[in-house]
Amino acid sequence: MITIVNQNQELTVFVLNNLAIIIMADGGIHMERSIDEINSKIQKGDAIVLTAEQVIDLVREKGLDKAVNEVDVVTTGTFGAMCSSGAFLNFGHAEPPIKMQKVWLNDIPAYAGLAAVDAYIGATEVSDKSGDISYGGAHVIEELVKGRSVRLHATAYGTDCYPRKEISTNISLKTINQAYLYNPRNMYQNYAVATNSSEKTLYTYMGKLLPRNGNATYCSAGQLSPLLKDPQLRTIGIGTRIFLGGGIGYVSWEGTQYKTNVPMKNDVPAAAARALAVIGDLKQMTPEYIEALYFTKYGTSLGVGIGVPIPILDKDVLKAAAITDSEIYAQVLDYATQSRARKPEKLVNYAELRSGKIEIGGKEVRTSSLSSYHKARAIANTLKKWIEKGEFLLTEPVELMPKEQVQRGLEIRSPEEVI
Amino acid sequence: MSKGKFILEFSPNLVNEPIICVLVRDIGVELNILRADITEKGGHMLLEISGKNKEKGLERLRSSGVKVRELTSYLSRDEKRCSNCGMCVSICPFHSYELDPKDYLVTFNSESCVGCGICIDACPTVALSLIDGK
Repeated sequence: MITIVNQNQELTVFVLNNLAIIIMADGGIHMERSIDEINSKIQKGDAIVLTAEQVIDLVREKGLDKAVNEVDVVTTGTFGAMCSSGAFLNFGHAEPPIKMQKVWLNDIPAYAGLAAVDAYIGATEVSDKSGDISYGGAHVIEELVKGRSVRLHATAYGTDCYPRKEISTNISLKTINQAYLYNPRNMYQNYAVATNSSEKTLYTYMGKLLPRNGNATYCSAGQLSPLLKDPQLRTIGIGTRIFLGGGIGYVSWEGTQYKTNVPMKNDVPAAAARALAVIGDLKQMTPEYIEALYFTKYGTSLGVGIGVPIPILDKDVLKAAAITDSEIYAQVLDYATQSRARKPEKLVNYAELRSGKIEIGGKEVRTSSLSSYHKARAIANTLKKWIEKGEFLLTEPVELMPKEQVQRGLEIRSPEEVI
Repeated sequence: MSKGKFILEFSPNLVNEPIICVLVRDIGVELNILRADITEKGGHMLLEISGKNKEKGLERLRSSGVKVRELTSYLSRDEKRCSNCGMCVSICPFHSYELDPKDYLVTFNSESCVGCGICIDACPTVALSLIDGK
């Protein structure tokens, strides 16, 4: 049924199958859907949901004009090392009570400068005593998600209201009050391809890099990666409901080091650009999508699975969501240069990277992904199922992210220079 | 032509004997040393042995007092930990790992693996270990 909702000299607006169609005075046709309209379709079980891979095939087959009528939501996914991750925990009060000044969880220090029994355990924190960097905060978080017990040790200076000075006990997700992941920087919108021109093997957060450009590693999920499929963040903002670690989470803020001043190629960043801060209940999460990682001689990190739904509001959103690996480019950086300012060797696309080899300086170099495309795909499929079943509704962003932002470096400066 | 991989255990009294040299020079064994860790306290060596004189060579090693054990697989992968990222794929000099372009699962070919161990410390989920632990 067609309903004409507005007609004047400049435009005619009518609604067809939950799609607002605007006919401009010059004859141009513009189609729009709202998130409310998509949600009412989801609730009725009528929404058409495709993964970020499936939508590529749809657009290739039918073209943007027809495809826009045949998809309401595109689901994305990524699973990889997200070092800027951690969890807030509230242990509950002891008897007699303690205002914890220093906290260790399985001998890994957690930050406790938050009232009495709150702490933040960071994924990359490692022991301050043993020198072992292969077990860290990420492992503590993994143990909790697996339902295992974790040793808690805390010390304090003691106050009149919190007389206790030490406690040693065991906790688990069952015994503590709140446990929520709060990750300040996740889901980087693109990232570098790392290689190593030096004569020795390098052990980095980009994995083991063999000498003389013996291999190259990359970490973005490319055509499945959430922020590459909505590159200007038109639909993703504060409050966006997402798949996080196997449960439901939310976008809480711009990610630290969020920036927009990066080289673009085919309307998407060709370097690390935007990132998001996310939050979610650790008690909902599963070991499949929260996994402790260890990068030899670098330290620990947390493997986090995230999926973001993209509401297909119009043709432009669809066009961006249908971008393919062969259109998304990343910079090859030489990690032998121990500097924050590495000059890109060249640009390569994700289809080349996924083929298993790229060319650097006339030499064929084998590639490895650090993020699991298999899991990224599983996340996009799971989110698709949740939406199809009506269990997961889309959200209107409470606020959109900055349109433009520059990332600052850290310089050695005097007090006068910083004011 | 049969080919096999063998772990050789050397006791301290054998470390000064030119055992491998004899194997090649006098018996004509074709071999490739994949790993060796031998000090005055003894040690072990991983050999790939092929050629028609393989059995003769193995007999000679045993009669010299070297403990010989055939290896059919060197590497263990913890399937629960492996996230199938594919970090191991570009690390392995023998192309033993491949990322299946359909399901993006990492496959492992134990035939081509020589147990060099270069992949062990490259795996971010710490899912890989050498079976003989050496």
